[in-house]
Amino acid sequence: MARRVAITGIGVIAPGAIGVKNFWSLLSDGRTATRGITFFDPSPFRSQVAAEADFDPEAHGLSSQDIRRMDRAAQFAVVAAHEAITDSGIEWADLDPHRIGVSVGSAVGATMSLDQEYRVVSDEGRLWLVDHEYAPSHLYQHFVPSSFAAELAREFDTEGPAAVVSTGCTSGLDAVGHACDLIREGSTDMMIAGATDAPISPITVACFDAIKATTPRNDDPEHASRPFDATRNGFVLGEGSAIFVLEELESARRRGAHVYAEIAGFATRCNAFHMTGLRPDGREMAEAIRAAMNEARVDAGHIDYINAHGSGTKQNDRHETAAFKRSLGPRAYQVPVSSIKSMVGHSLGAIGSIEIAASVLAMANHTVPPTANLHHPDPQCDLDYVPRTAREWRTDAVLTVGSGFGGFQSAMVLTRPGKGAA
Amino acid sequence: MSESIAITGLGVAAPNGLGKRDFWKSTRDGRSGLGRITHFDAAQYPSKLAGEVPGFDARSYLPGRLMPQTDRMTRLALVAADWALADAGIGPAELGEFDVGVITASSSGGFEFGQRELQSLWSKGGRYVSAYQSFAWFYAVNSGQISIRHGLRGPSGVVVADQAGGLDAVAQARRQIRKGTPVVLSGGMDASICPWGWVAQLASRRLSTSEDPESAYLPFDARAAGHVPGEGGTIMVLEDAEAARLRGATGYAEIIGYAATFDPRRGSGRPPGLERTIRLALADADLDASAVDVVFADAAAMPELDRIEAEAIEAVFGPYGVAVTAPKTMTGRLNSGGGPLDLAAAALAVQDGIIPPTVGVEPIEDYHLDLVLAEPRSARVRVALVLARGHGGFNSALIVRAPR
Amino acid sequence: MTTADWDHRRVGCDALVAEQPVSRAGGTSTMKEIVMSKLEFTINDLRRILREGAGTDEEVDLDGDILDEDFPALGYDSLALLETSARIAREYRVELDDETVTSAQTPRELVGAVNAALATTPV
Repeated sequence: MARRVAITGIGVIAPGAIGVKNFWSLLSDGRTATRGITFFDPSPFRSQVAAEADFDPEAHGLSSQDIRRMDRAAQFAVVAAHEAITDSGIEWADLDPHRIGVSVGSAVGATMSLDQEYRVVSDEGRLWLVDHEYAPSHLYQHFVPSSFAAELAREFDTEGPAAVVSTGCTSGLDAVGHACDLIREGSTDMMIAGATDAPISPITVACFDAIKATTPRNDDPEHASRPFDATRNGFVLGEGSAIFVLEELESARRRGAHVYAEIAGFATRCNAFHMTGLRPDGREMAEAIRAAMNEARVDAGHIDYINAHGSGTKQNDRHETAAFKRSLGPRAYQVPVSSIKSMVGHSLGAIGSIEIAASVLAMANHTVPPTANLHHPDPQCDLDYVPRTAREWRTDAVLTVGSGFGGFQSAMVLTRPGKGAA
Repeated sequence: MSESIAITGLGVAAPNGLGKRDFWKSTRDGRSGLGRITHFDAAQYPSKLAGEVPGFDARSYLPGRLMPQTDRMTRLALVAADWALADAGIGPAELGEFDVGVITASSSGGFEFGQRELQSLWSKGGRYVSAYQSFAWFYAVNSGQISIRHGLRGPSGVVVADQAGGLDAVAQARRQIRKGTPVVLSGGMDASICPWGWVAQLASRRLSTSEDPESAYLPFDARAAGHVPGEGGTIMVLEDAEAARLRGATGYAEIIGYAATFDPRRGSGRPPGLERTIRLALADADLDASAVDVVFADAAAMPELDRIEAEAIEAVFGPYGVAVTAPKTMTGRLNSGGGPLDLAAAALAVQDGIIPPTVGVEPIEDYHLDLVLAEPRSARVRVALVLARGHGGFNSALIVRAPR
Repeated sequence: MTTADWDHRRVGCDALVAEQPVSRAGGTSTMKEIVMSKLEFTINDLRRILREGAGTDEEVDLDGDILDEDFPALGYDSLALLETSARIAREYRVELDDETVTSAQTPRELVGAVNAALATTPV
């Protein structure tokens, strides 16, 4: 009998919302967490807005050594994982550490720490031959972000396979997809899986400025993230983490766990087209969606909510609208589609996992989160994007998708326990 | 579909040889590529040696348009991918649109590119940051650029697990092939020998400070005091072995077993994960330890890590129970490229019946290792085990055997 | 690579570009540049900057008669033009708005747009 994968615990650090409860309240209220950047003086930059998390690591029990050693993204992941494990209700100490693995997605790793440490060792960019005397001893952990997986494995005492998955903005879906592979093939019985990113740093802001991918709507930060709206003009950078406890479904049921959802299908494809550009026809994302539905053994008629990538760039929102129509046919017009990036911004590699969390919570709460700031739909984006207000809606099968630099296109199908195809 | 996966094409860029042929000739002959750093002036740093890929002129292989948007590691990866596809005799055009994936390992991304842009940002301002920075440095860039260059639209991915990641990427490719994707390009390529990358690696406190290339990197030796970092790696073509045979390709070797673990945290009292990793990989391959003809060691050259590896090998294979080698003594440790380069060497060892040597080492007797020293050893190599460990506790093991 | 692909690519990348004017609270304060007198931007200047910032493909003769060639036909996508225009803006201390850059289809149009901007930029 094929092994299946259940989500039994959730932890979230998001802009405007620390913890799952606050996260869902933000989404279901349709509140936005985008604001003028406060982490540094953004005035030299084109885009000066971001979705920042008000995160106090000490309040979450991290020691001063943890805080010094770990990049902000690693701190997010550890705190989110604690929430997920508590939520799962499992007696962690009773588990066999050999059978638990870690899979964490991150697009840009320890960028914030690297940016800060570079300033110091280079004396504000003056030195090409940077000064090792000023490098902290944990710089290597920032250099190779597999340290994020190592931090989680050590914190939760696991000895199964551990890795970081770093496929740009689909990392958060792909890391969870990878975790499912490990449980299904029998390498592990349980995974701490999810994603984290903390990219709000000058180098990130500058690199997206250079290609005008982020919005310059600096005079109206609360309404700056406008997926599917005709006035959208780029994404809003975000940060955060969502971490899950994944378990083999039957053993989760045997222990009487609360199963939020089954991860029924996952697939990824590459567009082999351009590092940042998208072909308007959405072919490769559509293919990923078809493959994920195929694995989940559901067809278009079963999908009753789409959690969109919805980044708010001109090309993305048309690209994925085309992909939904191409893969789901007329069904694309019948199901609600929404983008939570309108509220929490685009946290690069983390957002895929944060969107899985939103999808699962939508299923649990019989409510679909809205697309905030959507007033004037782009005529080329003509689906039901749930504008501004959450909607009561029973969902048994959610499709969530991601699209990112490098051409990666990923899709995941989540089903209500007992409602998926056998 | 068969259970095994064939390695049918190799693209190699190593410090002791650019291209599969040069690499393998140097490696068989025990010729090292370690030397004083030439990419920058290392005089002020405590470590001054590296393994640099010799004679790589990217412009002679790649379009000029790619130069401003690629780090050295991506140029090496693109050229290695070209070579791997040519070596496999496979043209993506002959395959279905979604039939070829790209799954690579990364460790630090395009770090030299990143250093230049960080310098522009902090010394001149944000307007000086390149339009290519958003992707040229990031971990996913090699998979993305390879897929674009060859129009590969199948399942793709990027794994980061420090030096263990290269084997993990190959294992991920194997999963995708088993799920039905006919061909996957996989492996890893790193090239962070720039001042900023060097300072970051120095922080690991695992770099040798010796200035003598002959004795700087001596795993399993009483003089072991850290490693020499290198650049390069291998991109390889992996196919379902049965499908490869049907198109008339035998391949170098078949991947038949894999496992990965993570070390227990300090103070747990539980043993390190490497021995268990080897046993799990053997179980995955359905093999007895006695079937293994050679072990390509991780060879950390840190005394405690060497001891752990020697004990794991002895525990599984018995004292002097299997030939062990570390050709990375000739290339340095290549991070995400290291596992795939060892896998290439293992595949070539299987093909040629030659175990390449470990150079410069006088092994500690207590380790009870049958280390292949100084001279290559002619041997019937049916099955090879490749080990790789990543900073922080990552352990991976991969087993190949001669094609049937 | 067909021309049709390039056209798609161009459409794709153009769509990334903001369509509204930038509201910027300040400029980079650490820039140290030589203030240039008013000068003319020529096709040769563009050739040089394209080579430096975006590279050239072997099959393209950038020194040939390129004034009225489409940028995609010369091997330059929208990212290449963003990089090129950023370099022009820095070197010539000229503000090029987003529209100017992305609406230029050919070297002639871009050279013209840069000169028009130079003419209105106070020295």
